[in-house]
Amino acid sequence: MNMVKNRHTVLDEDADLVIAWLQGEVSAFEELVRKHQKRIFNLAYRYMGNYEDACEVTQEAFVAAFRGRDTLRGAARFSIWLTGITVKHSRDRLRKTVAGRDNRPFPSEVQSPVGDGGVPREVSASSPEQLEWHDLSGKIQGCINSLDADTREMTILRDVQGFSYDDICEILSIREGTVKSRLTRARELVRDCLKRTAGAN
Amino acid sequence: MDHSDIRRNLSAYLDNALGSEQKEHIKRHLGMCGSCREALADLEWTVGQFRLVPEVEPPLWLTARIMANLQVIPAPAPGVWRRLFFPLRIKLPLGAAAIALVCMTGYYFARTRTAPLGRPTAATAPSPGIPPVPSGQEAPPPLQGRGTAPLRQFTREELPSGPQPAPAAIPAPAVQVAPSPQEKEAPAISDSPALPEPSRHEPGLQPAGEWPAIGREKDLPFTREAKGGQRKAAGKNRSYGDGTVAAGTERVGEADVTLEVKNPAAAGKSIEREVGSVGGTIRGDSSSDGNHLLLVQIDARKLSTLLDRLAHIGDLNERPAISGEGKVILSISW
Repeated sequence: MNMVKNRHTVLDEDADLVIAWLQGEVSAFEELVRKHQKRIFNLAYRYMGNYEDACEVTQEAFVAAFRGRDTLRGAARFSIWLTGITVKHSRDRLRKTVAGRDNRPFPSEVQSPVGDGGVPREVSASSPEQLEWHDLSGKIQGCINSLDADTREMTILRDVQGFSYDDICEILSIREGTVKSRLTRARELVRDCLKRTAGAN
Repeated sequence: MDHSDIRRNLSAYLDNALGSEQKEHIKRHLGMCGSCREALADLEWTVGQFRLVPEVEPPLWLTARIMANLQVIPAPAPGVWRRLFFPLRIKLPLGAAAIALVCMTGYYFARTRTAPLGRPTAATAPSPGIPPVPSGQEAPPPLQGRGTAPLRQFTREELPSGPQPAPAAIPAPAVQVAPSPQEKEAPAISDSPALPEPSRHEPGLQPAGEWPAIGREKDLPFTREAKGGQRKAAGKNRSYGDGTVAAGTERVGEADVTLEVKNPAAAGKSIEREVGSVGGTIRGDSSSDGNHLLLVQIDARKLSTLLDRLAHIGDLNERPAISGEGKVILSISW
């Protein structure tokens, strides 16, 4: 599968909703929120490493997108544009929070999908599957947390979210050569991190 | 491509993001390099670890919270830079409107400033022959015609004689003309009961070529012809003239003659021809109900000759005698 897509030939599946929103239909934007919030939330969650910050970043990103509709150019895909906004807000928030608090070991922060009523709850690692999920997620997230901002967002966008190289170029406004080099470095760091974690266990 | 280059491109090779040539080169290298194959396997395992991690569900209230934030949080005020420099789609119409406004204002000022240098307008130029109204003395209102606009009534004494000068160039003085004996004997020319006494200094007098705006042309005592600046008497109002007399000319009298002709319609051209043959000038004409009137300005010395020639056209009921030098206004009726 050729991962390098020509972004000019990719049709925006959100075009109808985006047009309706730009024409003043707030309900269309609400539909876009419902459609993209899970992906945006997971991006913020992997970037920030905790549930509360991910909620805040997701809200900030959607609000900023709503108010920054003028920056949505005709050729840009809504999902790409929204992802760029989310990465920017995540980066800004991470910069502020890193200085304000110590990064606690990720396993103590990791949370399972939300419980009843949407309130996040701590994982009760009672079954072997849950323990395995908890352990794997903790390890990977811990390794992501050890990356700097450039390699962190590269890993999340490519390996977690599955964006193509062209999409990443557009999201981060960088060249493809930069994407390749940063991604190579990020994968090597994560590989080393995971090997160290496995060796420690 | 050396060994380190191969390692550097393994990530892109894994994502199938290399060109076909690079891809083939790495493929050949991997076939003979065990360490690079091991490095590629490590990368595949690392990337595979991410795929094992499940997605996290956002809270159920997230959508509602986002939509609520859209309505609660006020939109940030635009920055000074943005306020000073609007987007192009706003700046262009604003700039065009500003340019149009400046052009219109400049055109208006140019017109208002150059007007006094040119020909005086009716509102600003003094009317020739009209003395200034002393301060504190209210000028009498102009006469009103059947229309709504002020109507100028001209009298016989104001009939122009000679070429009409430009009012701004020659402020012609009003010439006092003594009534001739013929005028006393002749029937009144102005048979309109509404016509006031002849007045030489009527207010609202317009210079030649500057007529007051009148709603209907039939309200005019004279209609202005397109050529020659001649005026034609309308109806029975036989007041005429524009109140100016050329400097250096002297009007010596006025006379009325009545001509009895067999064919009044054909006689008009004959009379005009004879007037022209003696150097007379037709100042106006009128006809109504079969009665015709021709106002002729002629040298007093040619009057006798003209009367002789008119006698060949029809029967003259009277023969006015005017002596002296100057111009005579002759009313020929038939």
